Amino acid sequence: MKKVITLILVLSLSIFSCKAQHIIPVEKAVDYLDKEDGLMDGKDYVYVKDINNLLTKFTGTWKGTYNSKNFEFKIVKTTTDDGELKEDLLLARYKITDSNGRVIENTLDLPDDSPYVLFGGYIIKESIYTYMLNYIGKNTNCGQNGNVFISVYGTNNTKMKLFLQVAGEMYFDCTTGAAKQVLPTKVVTLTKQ
Amino acid sequence: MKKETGYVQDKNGVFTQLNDTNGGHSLDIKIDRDNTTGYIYTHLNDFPTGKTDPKTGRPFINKIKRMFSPADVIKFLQIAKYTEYNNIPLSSVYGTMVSSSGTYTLKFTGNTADIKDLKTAEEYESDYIKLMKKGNEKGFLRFLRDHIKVEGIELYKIKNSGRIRPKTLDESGKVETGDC
Repeated sequence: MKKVITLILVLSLSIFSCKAQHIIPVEKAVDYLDKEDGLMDGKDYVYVKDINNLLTKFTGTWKGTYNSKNFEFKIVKTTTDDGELKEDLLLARYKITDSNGRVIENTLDLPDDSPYVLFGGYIIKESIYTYMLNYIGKNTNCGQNGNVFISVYGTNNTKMKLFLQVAGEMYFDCTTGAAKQVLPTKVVTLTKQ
Repeated sequence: MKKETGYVQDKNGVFTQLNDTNGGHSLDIKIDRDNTTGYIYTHLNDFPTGKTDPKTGRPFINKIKRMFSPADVIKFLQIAKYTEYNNIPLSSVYGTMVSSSGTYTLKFTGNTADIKDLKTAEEYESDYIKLMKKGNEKGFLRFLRDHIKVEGIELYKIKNSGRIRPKTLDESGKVETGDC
């Protein structure tokens, strides 16, 4: 009898705590961003899901050189869930060194929730081979912020083009003037390792 | 490269044009502690980046949030805070953003002593981006409520007809449109 009561209790709790999940494929997410209700689209719980496995091709370690600087990006796929919006998305960490190996910027060891880790973002409307990551730099108060676009191409998608589209939002507490951008504002070519 | 256009207004009614920032499309809203009463600027529409997808050759577009940014909110609050020193009436303080999705104005009816303990730009940017995925007005109002946390910031939408509608959140976190 005890077991039956426990089972009924567990089932009741699952029913009450269960929210209807509305699924949006990751490649369709961009279509919702301009809507009044964004990705929520009038629903209580939305999952932006990588149903067609379109995000995996961006993951891995990517390296390249541009303007005498070495760029290394480590891109992973993850799932976030704030109880209202669940999302399959990409995170990107990076290390930039100069020609002498001196570190210009390094976010490789930062945790997922660090603002300095690039985070998705969406597959752009124009191509399933390009993804937009949100960028917040360590001098974001002085304009290090914007959107990083990554595009895969080549045989087996082993090449990547990457660039920063600067937003340049300046905060009140910026006292040093506009900060130099550390991510490439021109297109840099990376190779999958 | 597309840029925003905007002005700050001083207490004598004079408008000064804003400059753009470091390679970006945003404007640097410079505030004069003794004189600034508000700002007005245009937000861009989505614009082509000038870059193309290497696989398909299709040009891609930079999407723009047609709403005040966290930096805009902080600047607005700073103008409000300065009324403690410059004798500008708080009722004159404003921030206005003009976009193809509508014109929005911020006003402040709270206590300027509550404008304190603001977080870093990095934290605000991150919180804002995540919330704005849930809708332009809803995301922004939730950002004010949950992250800026200063009572008395009011958001108004000015329709093309000239009608002004206040935007607030109800208890369930949905947007309510009021009447003026």
